[in-house]
Amino acid sequence: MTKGHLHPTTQLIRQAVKFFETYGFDVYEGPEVDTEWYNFDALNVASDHPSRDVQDTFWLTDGRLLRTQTSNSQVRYGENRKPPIKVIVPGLCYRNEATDAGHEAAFYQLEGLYIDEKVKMGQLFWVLQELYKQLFGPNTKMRFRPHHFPFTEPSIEFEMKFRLKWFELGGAGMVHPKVISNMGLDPNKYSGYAFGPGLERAVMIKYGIGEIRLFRSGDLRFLKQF
Amino acid sequence: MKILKTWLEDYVNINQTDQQLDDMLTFSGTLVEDISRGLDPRIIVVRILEIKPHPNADKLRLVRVTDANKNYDIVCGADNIKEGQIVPLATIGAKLNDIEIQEALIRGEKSLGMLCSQKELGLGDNHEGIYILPNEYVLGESLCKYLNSDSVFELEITPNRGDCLSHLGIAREVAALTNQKIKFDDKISTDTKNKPSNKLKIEISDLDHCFAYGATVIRSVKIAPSPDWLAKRLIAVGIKPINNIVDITNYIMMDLGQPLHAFDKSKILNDKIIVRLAKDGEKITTIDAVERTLDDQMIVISDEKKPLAIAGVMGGADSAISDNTSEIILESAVFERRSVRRTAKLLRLTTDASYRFERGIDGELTVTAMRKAAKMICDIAGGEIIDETIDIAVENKNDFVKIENDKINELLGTKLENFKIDEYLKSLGFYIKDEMAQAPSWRHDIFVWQDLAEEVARLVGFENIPVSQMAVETAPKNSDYYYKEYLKDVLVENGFCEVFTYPFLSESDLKSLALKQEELLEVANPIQKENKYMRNSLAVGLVRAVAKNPTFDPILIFEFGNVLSVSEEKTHLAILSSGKSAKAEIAKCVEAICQAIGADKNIFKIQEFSRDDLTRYKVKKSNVFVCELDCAILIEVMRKNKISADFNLSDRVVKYREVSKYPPINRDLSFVVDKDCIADDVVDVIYETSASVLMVELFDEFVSDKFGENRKSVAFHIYLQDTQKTLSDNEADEQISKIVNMVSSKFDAKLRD
Repeated sequence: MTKGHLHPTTQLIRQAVKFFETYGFDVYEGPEVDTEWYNFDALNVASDHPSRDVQDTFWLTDGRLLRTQTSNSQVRYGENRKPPIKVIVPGLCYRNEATDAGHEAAFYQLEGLYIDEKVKMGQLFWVLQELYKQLFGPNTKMRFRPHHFPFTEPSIEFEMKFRLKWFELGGAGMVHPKVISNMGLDPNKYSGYAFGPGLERAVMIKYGIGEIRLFRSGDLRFLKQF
Repeated sequence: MKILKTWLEDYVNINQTDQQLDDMLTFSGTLVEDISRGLDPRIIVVRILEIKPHPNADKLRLVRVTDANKNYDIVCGADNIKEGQIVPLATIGAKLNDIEIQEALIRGEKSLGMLCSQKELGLGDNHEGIYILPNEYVLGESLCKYLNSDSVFELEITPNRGDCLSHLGIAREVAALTNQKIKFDDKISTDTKNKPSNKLKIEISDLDHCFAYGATVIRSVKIAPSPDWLAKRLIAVGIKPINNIVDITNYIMMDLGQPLHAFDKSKILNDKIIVRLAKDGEKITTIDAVERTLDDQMIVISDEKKPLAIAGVMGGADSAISDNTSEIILESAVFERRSVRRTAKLLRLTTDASYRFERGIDGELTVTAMRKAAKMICDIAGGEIIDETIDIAVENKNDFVKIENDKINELLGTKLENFKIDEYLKSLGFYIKDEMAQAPSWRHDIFVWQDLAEEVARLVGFENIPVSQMAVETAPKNSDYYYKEYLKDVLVENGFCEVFTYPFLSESDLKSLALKQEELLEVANPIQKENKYMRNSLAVGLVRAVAKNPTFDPILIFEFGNVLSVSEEKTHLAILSSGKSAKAEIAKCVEAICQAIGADKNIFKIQEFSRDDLTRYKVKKSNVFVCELDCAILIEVMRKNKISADFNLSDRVVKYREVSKYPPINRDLSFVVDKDCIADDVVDVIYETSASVLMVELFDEFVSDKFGENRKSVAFHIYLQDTQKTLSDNEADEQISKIVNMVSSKFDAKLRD
């Protein structure tokens, strides 16, 4: 019997899940249709702040939205739990923008959240470095630079050197105290980190794929290669 | 935002190379997206002497140009040029966007360089034709003598750092990073001689949305083009010069971050300016000649009769500076961020000014900016300041935030002494008192100690933050995720291939697929019409995937995905098979799942697509079966039967080949090989033999005496493609015979008939 094939994104998520298992992370998927509260307000993204412009949101006629980021699961997952909270959220997200070879209206992100007493920024750096070594090989180099997201403070963006080139992978940071409060936790006691890179991009870098729209094309010439 | 390096040097010494400055800014939070190094001096000013048709190409022309000493023959495709015009020529060796211009033979004619468009020079978006230069430019001179000769940094400024949207702002960053003090005098005084008989009156009726307002009256200005240095700086940062007054207001905005506006005073009634809410439905034609209708939450600047400008967004056409203007009112104000943002969004009119107001400007700089602009106007446009009115001025109202030294060190993993943390903050303009820090007036993003930690971290440098390992710990592993992955493995084991399909449906999908609309979740604001509704079933996507893969037969696919309706969101599994034994394949697969998890076969409903349905989905094949169900049902069974759901990672090495936009050709080959021969090795050899091989699938392998002792048959689907064109049958045959020869010789294989 000839075996079938798993989608390359599935395979990448599996590798990530196995990596995080070692450090005690749960897996949660969260809803794709969500409220403004979980996707924006709970994450300290005020409705009148220019940072909302960055994300083109699909609004639904009933007032809800399609999540623009797996970060919608941060408060959803965190609000019913006591720290330590360790979870990864692989999931489909949506952006209301024109599609091209590098942009797709529906794409995967991998959220990670760790809330505990005395979480350090160095742990975030470490976990990202180790994750991408797992996904891309032991010689993978990472670098971090300051950035801004309303839901993390400090915020960072991270890049990976692969085959001599630097690639931007995504954003991360130390969870903003307002987000921790919105989970019903005391931000004076707890801190944490969160990250949320896109996954298609990582798959594309890994295999040298130039077209993101292949991922949802159903094209077997593409899928059967993995 | 574009920053000119030499402009920064007005405020700070820069000893760094462009690359060093790039790294310094990028790794402290101001991402440098691009550096354009100014025009190569080998791009020179020339005049067109003669234009002739190209003998071998209709769309090309032969152009002879001169630099006054020497003539050059150039092949050119643009059609906007005429003899006698002054144009830019990139000579041999010149670099244009990192491409070196070389002598070229174009359709048999030699070309000694390239005439350039505005876009090619990086001076604008105009790619329509060759950039026609002013007649004053001297032939043979380097174009960079006139335009953009310095390094320009294109920066990404995050929404919290409105203060970085100016050269002064970036200079402050550079100063903090290099231990310098910026060179900036914020105490500019104005002499107002010849007081006017009618002093300008300012009335602010909406104090909630206008925090500061200053106006300077300048008379006897002479409207003219800006001097070269000013026009050059504006061009370099992407702003088109208009006239000296408007250019100076734009210059100060790019310089200090304070948007300014200049009104023609003769168009303003009774020397009175009113800042007020607009009336609902009030109209104003803005300087872009568009009539805008306002609502009663928008702020306008008006006189006693009519609106003059939309506050913080754009001025009105009526009171705009014209060639005949001689007396102006220069406005410098602070408008409330949210209000400006709302107005700009509703009017779909984002301007350089509104962009800055939305992000927050420096209220303490409002007067300084106005005075600097007023002085420049007097110097450049020959004006005379006769009146300055400042109605309310803003002082720094930023909160004092406790500097939690211990917590900062704990978060960053550093051991910084308190005074060191203070020093970092002070270098960024913070005021420190009693372990409290107040952000400077230009910052609007500092509220909690974590914000201070970020400031410290970016100055310390991330490379100096110690990496800290996570502890190994047992994971719960009871998420639904694991059950789905377990099921995926069963499906893959049975030959099914995982697909992700598009989760949206369009209006025309609804019609052509005869889907019902009532239960569908609808997108309120799709920018592409494909994204109007959300799928409520996976089967639609799967059957479309069949249509997309005409070369493949059989097709065995599945998808796990969320389906959405107005009432709920569920995860479904859908399985599809097509091909001559489709019915048996899907039944076998369902059975395998039931066996693996102990489920009852009756929870699966296998359906065959009717011919009508298939036609609707543009599927030519017949025999298409699908089975779709709620994944929760399967997971419940698995939990009940205590299935230990987990998965292993694939160790297969994937060599990816780009998929061609031209259709593939499928050929099947069967070989008789030794029983011990590993089929995957044959796959590898086939794959490596020809770059036309997209992929190779083993579809049959069995031992039989009829092949001889210890021999077996292996059969492969081979998919061939050409990335440049449709592969012909002959070409495919050629590749196939190459493959047959290679496999035969490497594996002692014989092609089966």
